[in-house]
Amino acid sequence: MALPTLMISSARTRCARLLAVRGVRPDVCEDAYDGGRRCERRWFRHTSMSLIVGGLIVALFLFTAVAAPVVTSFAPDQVRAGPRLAPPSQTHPFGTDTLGRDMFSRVLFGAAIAVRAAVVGMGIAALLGIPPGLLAGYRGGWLDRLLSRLIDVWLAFPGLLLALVVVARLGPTLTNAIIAVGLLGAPGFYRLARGLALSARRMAYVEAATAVGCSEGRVLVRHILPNLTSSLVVFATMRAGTAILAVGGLSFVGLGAQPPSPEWGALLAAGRSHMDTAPWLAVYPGLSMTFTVVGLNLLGDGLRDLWNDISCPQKRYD
Amino acid sequence: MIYVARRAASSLLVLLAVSLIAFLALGSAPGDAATALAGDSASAAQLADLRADLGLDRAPLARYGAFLEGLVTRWDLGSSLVGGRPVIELVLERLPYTIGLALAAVTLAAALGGLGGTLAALRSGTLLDTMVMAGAALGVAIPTFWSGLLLILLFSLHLRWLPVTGADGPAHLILPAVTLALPTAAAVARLVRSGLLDVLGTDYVRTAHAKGLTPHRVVVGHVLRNGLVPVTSVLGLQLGHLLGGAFIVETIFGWPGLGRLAVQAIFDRDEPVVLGAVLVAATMYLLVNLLVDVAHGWLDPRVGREAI
Repeated sequence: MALPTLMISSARTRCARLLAVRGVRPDVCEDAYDGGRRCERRWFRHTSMSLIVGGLIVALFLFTAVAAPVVTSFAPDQVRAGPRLAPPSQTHPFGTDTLGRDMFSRVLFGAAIAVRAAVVGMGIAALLGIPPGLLAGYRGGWLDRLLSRLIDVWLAFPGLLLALVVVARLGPTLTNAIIAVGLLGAPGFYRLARGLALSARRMAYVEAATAVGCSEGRVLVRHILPNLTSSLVVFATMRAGTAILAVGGLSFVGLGAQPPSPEWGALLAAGRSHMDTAPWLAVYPGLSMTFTVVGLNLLGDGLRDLWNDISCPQKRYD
Repeated sequence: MIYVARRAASSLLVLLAVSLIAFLALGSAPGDAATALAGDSASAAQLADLRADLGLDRAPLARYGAFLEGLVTRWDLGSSLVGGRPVIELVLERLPYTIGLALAAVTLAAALGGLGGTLAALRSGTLLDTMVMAGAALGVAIPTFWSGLLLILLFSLHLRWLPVTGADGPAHLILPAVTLALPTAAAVARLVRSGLLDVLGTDYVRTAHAKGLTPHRVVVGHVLRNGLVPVTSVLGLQLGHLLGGAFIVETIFGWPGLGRLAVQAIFDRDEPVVLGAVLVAATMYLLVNLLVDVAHGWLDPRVGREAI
């Protein structure tokens, strides 16, 4: 660890000296250096951390979702598992709710629903967005223009408004909220896939594949798509947090999961009216949600920088 | 001028498509207006009569045509199935609240995020930078319906400084505006930081330093001016989003905006009101987008030319 620090400081002094010769003030030299290379280095150190921390949080989240039935000693909807509105204790680490249900098991089982929201929601978005995006970017021309206009219309429903329309049409249930969130995420995948396919089209490996006689479908699925996987995975990881937040938000206002579902947004909505006397009802579900979304964002950041670094190794020598 | 006209025309086309989709999705739902109006006890003949009265027996596209004609010629968005009042009245009643909240939130987010991002960029690599960025990471991830509840818990229930719900005065605006501003401020701070860091490394900033300008003048006159152009677009987009998507925060704080009207209408199966609220929100969103694009072209003359 000592050597790189030494190298940084010596490079820094060299830079300052060079600039000072040209008559630039020392503090400006420092700033110029900060704005440039040293910052990149720090970023790299930073991102390895975000990869590890994010990965650990997401692993914990996935483990919780799978192991909830084993880890908890009460069923999530078992009424009178303890006294009503009991504060956090050893038997009930997150307290109990108005019906005496154990909040710890409810929050843990809520993780399984959040995983479903993230995986199914992003799956729908990816399935709806990626194939047309690839095709539009690869083919270009009228198909690209037509699909892109369609996406503009899609995006003209601001925020969660599109989800509102979908839920109004299909009815307020958890499944419909997840479908709505999937529809909401599709334009993002479309734009990303289109942009990536557009730049891949001119790459040598695509030309080579076309030259040896691969069909369009084969070029797209066997050659272009595998090369875009890392970008798409990063994007999906970052958007998974948004999906969890959106499903939670819809459930919170009553347009998603309905009671007695332990969905985190629904838990918050139920805890809302007892905030004064039993704040733990609102604190733990919100905390779990924030923690999970921070983890997903960190993991996405970390993966992006990891893959960027691998694809341009010269960055490591600066 | 040509650029503005073209953008306006394409916005109008998008709006037309949006209204068609929203109408087909909401105007022809299975539990139609006649069933909702007549109640469960109505006979099949009564239902058929009512359907004919409301024009529900016609093909969806024909009904859309009639709807559009009414909208363009008479500003008629239909009537609420619950209170019978014209939808346009209901929507216009709620609109000032939504616009006020969105403007307050975006102004707050711009101030908070701009300040945080600028400080983080100018002191990049220091503890201050790390703290601002950690705060931003948290701000992006925290659900508004949780931060809103926590703010109520702290400022309304414990400290008793601010009212919990309602919309009777400026004091009622503070908590919902702060709640809505937090995620936007976090996004703005990140964007300002990276934008400024990019600009700080450019040749013209070094030249500005080299010709002897004070650091303050370099930052204000050169760095901020160019580094903030993308931020104005994002703020505009956020404003548009908040105009339609703030229903969660409106629900928490009992703020009588457009979003809450739409959510309540969904529970009441009052499709005309949902449709009206959605259309007005989408219109405002497109309008704000158009203004942002025009402003962007004005701030950075390269943009307008490229787009054509």
